[in-house]
Amino acid sequence: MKNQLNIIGTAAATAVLSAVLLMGCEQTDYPTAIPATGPSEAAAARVLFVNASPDAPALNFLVENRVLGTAIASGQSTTYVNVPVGVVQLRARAATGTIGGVIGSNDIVFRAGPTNQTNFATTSAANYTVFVVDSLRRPAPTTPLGVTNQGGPQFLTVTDILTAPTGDNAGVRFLHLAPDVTAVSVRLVPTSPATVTAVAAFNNRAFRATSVTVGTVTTNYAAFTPVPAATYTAQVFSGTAVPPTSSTIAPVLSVSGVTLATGKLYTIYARGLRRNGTLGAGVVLHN
Amino acid sequence: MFKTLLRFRAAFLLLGSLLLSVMSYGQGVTTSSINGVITDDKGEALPGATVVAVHTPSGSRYGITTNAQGRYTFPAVRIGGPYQITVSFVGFQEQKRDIVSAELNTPVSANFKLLEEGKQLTEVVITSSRGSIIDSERNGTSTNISRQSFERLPTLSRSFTDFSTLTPQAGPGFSFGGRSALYNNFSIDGSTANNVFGLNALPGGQANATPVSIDAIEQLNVSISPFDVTQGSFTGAGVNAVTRSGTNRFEGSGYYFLRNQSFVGTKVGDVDVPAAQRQDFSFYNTGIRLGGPIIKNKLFFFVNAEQEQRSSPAVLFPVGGSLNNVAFQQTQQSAELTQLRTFLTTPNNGKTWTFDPGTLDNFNALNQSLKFLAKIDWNISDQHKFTIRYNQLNSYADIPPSNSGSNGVNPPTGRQNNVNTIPFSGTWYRINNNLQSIIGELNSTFGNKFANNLQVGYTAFRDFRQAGGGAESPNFPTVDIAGTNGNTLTSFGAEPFTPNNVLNQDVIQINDRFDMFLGKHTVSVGTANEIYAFENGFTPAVRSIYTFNSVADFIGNATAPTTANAPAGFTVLYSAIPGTPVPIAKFSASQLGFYAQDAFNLTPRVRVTAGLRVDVPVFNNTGLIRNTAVDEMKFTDNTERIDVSKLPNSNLLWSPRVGVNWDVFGDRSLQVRGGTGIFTGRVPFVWISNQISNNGVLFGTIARTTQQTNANLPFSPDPAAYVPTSLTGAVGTPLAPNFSINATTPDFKFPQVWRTSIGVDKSLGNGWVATFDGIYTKDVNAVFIRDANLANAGVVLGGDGRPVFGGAAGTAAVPPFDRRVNDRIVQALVLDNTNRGYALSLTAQVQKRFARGFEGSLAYTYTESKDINAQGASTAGTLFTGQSIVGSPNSPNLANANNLVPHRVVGYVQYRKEYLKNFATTLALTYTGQNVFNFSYSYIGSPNSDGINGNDLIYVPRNQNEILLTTTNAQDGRTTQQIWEQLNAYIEQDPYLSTRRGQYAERNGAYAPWQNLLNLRVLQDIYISVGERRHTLQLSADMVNVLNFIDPSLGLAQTTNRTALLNFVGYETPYTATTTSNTGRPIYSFAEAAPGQALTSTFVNNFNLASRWQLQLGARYIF
Repeated sequence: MKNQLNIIGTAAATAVLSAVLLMGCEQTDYPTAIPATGPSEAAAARVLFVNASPDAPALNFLVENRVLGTAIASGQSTTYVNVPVGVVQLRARAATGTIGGVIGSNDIVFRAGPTNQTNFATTSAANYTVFVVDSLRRPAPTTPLGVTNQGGPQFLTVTDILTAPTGDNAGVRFLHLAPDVTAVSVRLVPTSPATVTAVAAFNNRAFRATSVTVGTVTTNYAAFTPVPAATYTAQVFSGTAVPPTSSTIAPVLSVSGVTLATGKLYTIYARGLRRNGTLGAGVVLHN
Repeated sequence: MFKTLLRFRAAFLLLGSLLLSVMSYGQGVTTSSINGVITDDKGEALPGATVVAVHTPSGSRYGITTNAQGRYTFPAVRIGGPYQITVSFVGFQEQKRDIVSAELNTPVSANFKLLEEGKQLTEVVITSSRGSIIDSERNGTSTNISRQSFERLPTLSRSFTDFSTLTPQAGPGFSFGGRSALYNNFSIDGSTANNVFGLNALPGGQANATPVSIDAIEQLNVSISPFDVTQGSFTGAGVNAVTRSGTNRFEGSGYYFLRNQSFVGTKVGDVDVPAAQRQDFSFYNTGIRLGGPIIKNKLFFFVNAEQEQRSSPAVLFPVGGSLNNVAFQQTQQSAELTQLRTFLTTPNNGKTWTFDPGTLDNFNALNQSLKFLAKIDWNISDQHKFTIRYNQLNSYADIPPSNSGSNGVNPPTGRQNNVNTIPFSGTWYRINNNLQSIIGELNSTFGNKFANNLQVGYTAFRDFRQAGGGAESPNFPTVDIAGTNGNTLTSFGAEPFTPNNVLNQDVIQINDRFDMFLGKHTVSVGTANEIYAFENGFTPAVRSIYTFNSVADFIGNATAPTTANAPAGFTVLYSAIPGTPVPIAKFSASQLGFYAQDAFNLTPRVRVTAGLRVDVPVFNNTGLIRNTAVDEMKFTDNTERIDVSKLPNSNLLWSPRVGVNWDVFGDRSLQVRGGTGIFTGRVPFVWISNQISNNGVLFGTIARTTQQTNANLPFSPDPAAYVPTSLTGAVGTPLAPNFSINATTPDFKFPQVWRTSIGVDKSLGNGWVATFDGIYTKDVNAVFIRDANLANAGVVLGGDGRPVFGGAAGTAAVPPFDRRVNDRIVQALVLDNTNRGYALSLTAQVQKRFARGFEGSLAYTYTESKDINAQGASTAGTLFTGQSIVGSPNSPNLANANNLVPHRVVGYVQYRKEYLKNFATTLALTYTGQNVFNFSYSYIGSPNSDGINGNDLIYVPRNQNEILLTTTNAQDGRTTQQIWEQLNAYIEQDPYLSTRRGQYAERNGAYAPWQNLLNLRVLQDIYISVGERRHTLQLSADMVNVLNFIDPSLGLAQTTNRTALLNFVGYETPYTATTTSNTGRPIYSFAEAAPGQALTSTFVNNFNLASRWQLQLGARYIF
């Protein structure tokens, strides 16, 4: 009997002590999270797509794999579309069939570096123009070993500051997107009305260049230059640092009837392939 | 906190009131003890009776007379047995009794009832006993592993760590009770054999070697809560191995064990293991042991020597190889590699030097160890016994070059052999872990009242690196060359972390314990002292590192340098102390311990031990250099000052302990034991040493990572080509614009825990015992590391709530723009203390000690262990950066300890049968079932901008509104909606994350699945007896993971697919120095398992050896 009591007592004491030991245990003490209660409140960014590749088929544009532009043929563009803020993936895909050419897949993807897979970063309420540039038949023969960009169709992005030009001006910028033409210079020669006489020039633009740095001064080619609202002929010269003044030198391309309206913003870009005789100018209206 | 204390105090009071009681005098960690009471047949004590105990195999005699209470004690007797005890007293009949064995930490009680001469024995009492689980001297929790287990239980590695895991409270990696293995004290024959510097838990760890062969171990004891204050220097477990001694019989054994790749399973589940994980290897372990008398009954020797080698091919991805019909990069560029080697080795080809980089062909990487042990036991007299033991370990491992760079100059994708990369053999390195240890021990008794134990030991640890194969590391820069696909193609030259990489540790021990047997009381006083000296050299990139974009660039740069072929990166480290070409962190320290203890019987059934110990760590600041720039700075709260030349002050660390044993019925059928008290340990000294090596003033560095600006750094074979020839500034002036420092708070205290345990042992009859053990450990002084240069967080992470720090170097002095209090300091890591943290383990066990050929045990242990600062790092820096957090890394939260395995079942059985006069067969099984490890879910990157990547625990979103997701890369074809659906499905299937929705994941909060691991050993003995001697040939087969052998789908270990679950890719609003208030919400990507294939499960079968059966065969001759 006493033994039984002792056993019961021992068992009870052990149980009680273990329970007391267990009471020494504590939960983790992480702070309470403050999660978001709705979708992102950041103002969306906007992107305008341009198919500026000389020989790509009609493209669908995708942001984060959502189709935001359908069957945009070479030389065509979308309007601005809303995209998320932050790091976003850009992609272009043939509207039908495959893109073909050296890319070897059905996708053109945005890459920030050689093996880098960082996508495109947008900031809140900013505007961007995204071009698909370059030929399917690259690589270019001049591509040296080890350079990061081996050529082939790819994205080119610029940030758009959509501040309307003041006065009786339009805003214009020029980008060289014709792959087999060395650096170009462009002259906008007004044709009407006759009151507009000023000739605008965009000098020594390399293929795909969106800015140039000389010394410590960087010129941003994505900035819009105010020009008087008028109709112009765009003359594109190759191989010269500035447009030649002598009329004996023929432009590689001359496009007449480019009308630039008051308060509007335009991108003019050289497109096509010289070797195929398909050089032309594309015009994108931004507002 | 206060609540916890209250609870704890309640536990303590309750324990105290229930178990008022006693403790034993301590038996030494190398010996056992025998004690008892001599009475007449009426139960009256017989003072002055003579008791002689003889260790039969060696004839070692111990003699004493009983005290006034009739009690006798042999405080320090040789472990093992059998013993014969003879009791005689004038007028009484002499009585003898045999005791099978005396074990470590497990005293033997032998009480005698003498009959008057002429009286007829009414009953013949022949009790054969051994140190038993139920014994009045036991109070804490400890496990003994005997020679029998070493001889009979399965082991592949033949390491005692395979056996220490039989301890119910064992956890991963030589840890116990959920505490870090770095807080154990491991000793061999009482000499400290820890790697006290702490790069590994045990010496030889970097070379996969153990310091002593299991053939030389007599017993291993794992004590988690010895309330005996003579034991110290740990807050984890005290693990002590006592080596074998010679006896009057010559006994010895020679053995050979082997295994190779064909002894390993190749199937995991129904999948064949990939070739890359089925590499060839060969392993052997061979040795001898011999023990015997030099002078019979007087002087004995024991020696053991053992060599172990594992050899495996170094090159698994050779030049010429391919995978899935795609040639390796080294195959595609084999012409360049040949050209490179020819260029280096040919004289006068546009350069004036030559260099042999080694080979690209396969060679064998070796992992070898040689252990030697010799021991002399000298029975000077019945009163004095002397033992001296020497042991030595020489071990090394050949290791491929590190994948890391230095100062931001990194090889493109590491240096180790893979489908893109093949380093030259000269870039491999060999890590050597050597150790020599000697310890002498003198056990003396003086009359009946006094006993003394003196131990003096010296151990030298010598860890150093050489080039692979054991050559001198070449005096040539490290050169890393990229291949055409951007990955590293090859590396040659010195391995960047090898030159001057040395760690010398010297430990001197002087221990003395003096026991006084004063009536009912046994009082012990003593001292335990360890004196340490350390030298640690580490000079990453001291021979320069160059990186080149191609072989052509390197050859061009070495002959005709231009900007185009300039190194893409260059770095070199150099001494900032004029006249000292290689600054080495040197310091000395000591830990002095003093104690007093009384053991007495409170009642006949209740024995109490009460003692007090004080430990005093002492650091020597001599020769440490101040950092004059740091001296001027203020840190935390703009008040804290840091002096990097000052190690912590000495302070007295008190450890009072009381232990109790209650023999409930007085018949040893049920005992309750326990106690409570403080245990004082030490920190891995590397954490202290980091302060000396990372004081900001030992070294200067040059680091250049822009090829365009490296034209003035053409390749030079001279490692010191770009080291400044004359240093400017005085010693103590930091050269680097930015640097990190390590320090300790002046009143930093070594770890202390308050440990309380209760154990119940119930004899079930027939040798079976059921045991319950509960151990609660509360941190009193736990180690906590903080960055004193980390400014307070300025803002809160949008959509999350955790604090966000400023950038590395902002323009303003206050947060949120700059996370550094002092812009020059990257981190100022200060070792400090916290009292938060605890561990609990509850064990239920049944066991049967060896009898009639059978022994067995089965135990289940539940463990909880939480700490503030995960304790497992090999440097103070990784102690800080290596743990996952939610808030500031300076105020981490209480969370699971790294070594926590919540549920664990461990058991073993062994059975031996002799038959047909010449044969014996032994079968032994060990079983371990457990959640093998725990893990944390964290982000890749650093959403809280604390400068530490990968340490931020994830928030587990409840719905899509709570997380902004983006694609992983340019190729990712998922829409945001699809990414969320995949993430949501993953969270839902994850047993841990599905319970944490709406909360942060906890550090080490998730557990790996259960693994059943069953190991088998079969021993077949064939013996012949010649006279008294038996010659045995023993064949052995050890199999690990028998279940997997029976069925490839059993016994599998599982590992995690990915614990860095989400990749932080940026904020909605980029966080810059000019952003005023909010960063916007963080954006994450949730990568697919493979392109187009969602990550759908947390765990995947592990294809490595943990899942597969392995067999080892052996042969042994025993005489």
